Amino acid sequence: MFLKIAHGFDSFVRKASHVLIVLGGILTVAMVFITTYGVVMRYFFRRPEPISYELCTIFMLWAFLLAISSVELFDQHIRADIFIQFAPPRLRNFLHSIVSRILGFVYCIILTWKGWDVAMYSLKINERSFSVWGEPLFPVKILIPICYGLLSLVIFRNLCHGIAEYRSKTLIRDGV
Amino acid sequence: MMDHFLAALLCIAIMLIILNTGLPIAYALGFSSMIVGFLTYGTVALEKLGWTTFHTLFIPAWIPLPLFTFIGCVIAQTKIGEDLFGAARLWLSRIPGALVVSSIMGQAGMAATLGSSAATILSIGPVAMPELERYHYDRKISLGALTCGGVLGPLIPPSGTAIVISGIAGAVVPLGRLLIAGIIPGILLAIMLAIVPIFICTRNPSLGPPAGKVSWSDKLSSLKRVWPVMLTFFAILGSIFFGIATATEAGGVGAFIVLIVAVMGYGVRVKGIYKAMIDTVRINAQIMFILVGAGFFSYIVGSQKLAKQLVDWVSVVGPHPILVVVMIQILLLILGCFIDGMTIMMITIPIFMPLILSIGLDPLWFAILFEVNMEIALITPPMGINFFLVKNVFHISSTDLFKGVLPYLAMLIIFLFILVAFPPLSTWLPSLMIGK
Repeated sequence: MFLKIAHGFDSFVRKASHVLIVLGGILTVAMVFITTYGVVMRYFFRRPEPISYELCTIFMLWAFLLAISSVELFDQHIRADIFIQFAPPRLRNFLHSIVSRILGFVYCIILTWKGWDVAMYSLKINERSFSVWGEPLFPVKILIPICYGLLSLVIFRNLCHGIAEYRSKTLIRDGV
Repeated sequence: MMDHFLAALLCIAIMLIILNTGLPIAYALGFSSMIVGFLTYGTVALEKLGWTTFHTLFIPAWIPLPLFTFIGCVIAQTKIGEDLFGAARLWLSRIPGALVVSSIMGQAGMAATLGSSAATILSIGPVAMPELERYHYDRKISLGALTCGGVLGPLIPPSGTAIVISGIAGAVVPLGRLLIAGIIPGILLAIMLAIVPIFICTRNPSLGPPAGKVSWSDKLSSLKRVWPVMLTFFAILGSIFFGIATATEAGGVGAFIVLIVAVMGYGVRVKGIYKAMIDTVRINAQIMFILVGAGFFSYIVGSQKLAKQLVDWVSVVGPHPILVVVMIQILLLILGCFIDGMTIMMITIPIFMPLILSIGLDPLWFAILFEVNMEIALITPPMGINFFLVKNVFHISSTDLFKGVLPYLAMLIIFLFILVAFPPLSTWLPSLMIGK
């Protein structure tokens, strides 16, 4: 039963991260076309439109949020591992698989929790952008806790994998 | 509650410890500042953390970042790097160290379409290395050139580093002007780096023999293959220079043109575009997550307070402005050995930029110096990311690579101080811009 739940959870975070990063990629390509559209409208048709900049800013933020869980899933964060490569493999593995993920998990849980409060406050006061378009900011902000929430789940998943891997290596080393 | 200065020191110390245990930079920055912020300011710091993602990233100044990254990722799907190196090789075949010089010039060409040093190294390196080995070039000199040539990537526009500097510095360093300001220093640096292998191989030809005679028809026909680079370069910079488009719009239009060139000229299909799209969004997420952590870190360390104290101190002591700039450059060179560039930029630009303005120096000139310094940081161990990239990709020992890098590094530092001594090298071209 536990294994089934664990497998389901693993499959969910993998699929969700994949779908979200593809969506993020589509938004990035959309930014290319929206910016070009803005330039064409302004210079060729003399009809400047007010939304392309604002839309690109929203898409840029969303694209980042949608991709971040995939970056964690495939362990692609930028890190400075110059000194640690001289450490014993066991310590290195412990820091990488367990400590890193515990710190990351705590950080992302706080980001999710406080990000949720920020989004709810935005909904409460019906916050709008100061731009000409004046779009509501709640839809922009609500993706912050949602995506950080998924990121927290991915870190938790990687932490479980890390602990299992660390334990199995320790058992092999101890000849159990 | 902790004293603010003590909190800043503790925050930096914890961040450095976590950073050097190999943990992701974004977590090191975010976690250290979250803990110290909580201990110093209580739950207010956590509330601020909740706002940080939106406040740091919901800024139009960052829009060029994914657009220029997309340009680089689409170009990585083509054979433009191979074509550029091939053309440079044909034109420079008769000079000593021809292939090393060609790889530097190839990197300069790629730099006109890419905004990152790692991408510049990876676009030319795998193409140039087999040729360099075929002609028995010295590996240390060849890979040293490749490592340091990467600096050209962010210096010659488009430039990811310029976007970050401009984004942090704000209105005092407009991105369009900063991109244009990088052109002359970029060309100068390419020439200065090329002098190193020419000098070494003239003294000892066995380290890098000339590649042989090439006919003029071959040379001229090779130029046909470099037009996509010229087109991208002029589409982006021409539109900024002549005031047709802002830097953001130029990034979008440049990406659109590159997409068309890749599809029509190089046969890139859906699979290639999909890969470019995913790579772009992944690279962007890596950088932006660091920006979120660094934004909060900068807030907790109190960069703005430090900046005010520094400005007050300098106005009392009254050192010569150039001395201030030289001191900052030396400090950045040292910091660059131990902390990654993004973190340095997020922490120090808000501190140093008000100082530069207060002593009446050109912020654009300072931004170019900053850019070059941050790129030097990428090749200076122990935190030299590009240094280790080349080491791992081309399987060379750190000692050998460091020996190879050393003469180019010396040239880079000379170059940095030439830029300090002659500000018009960076400021003259932006002063001619039609679009200010």
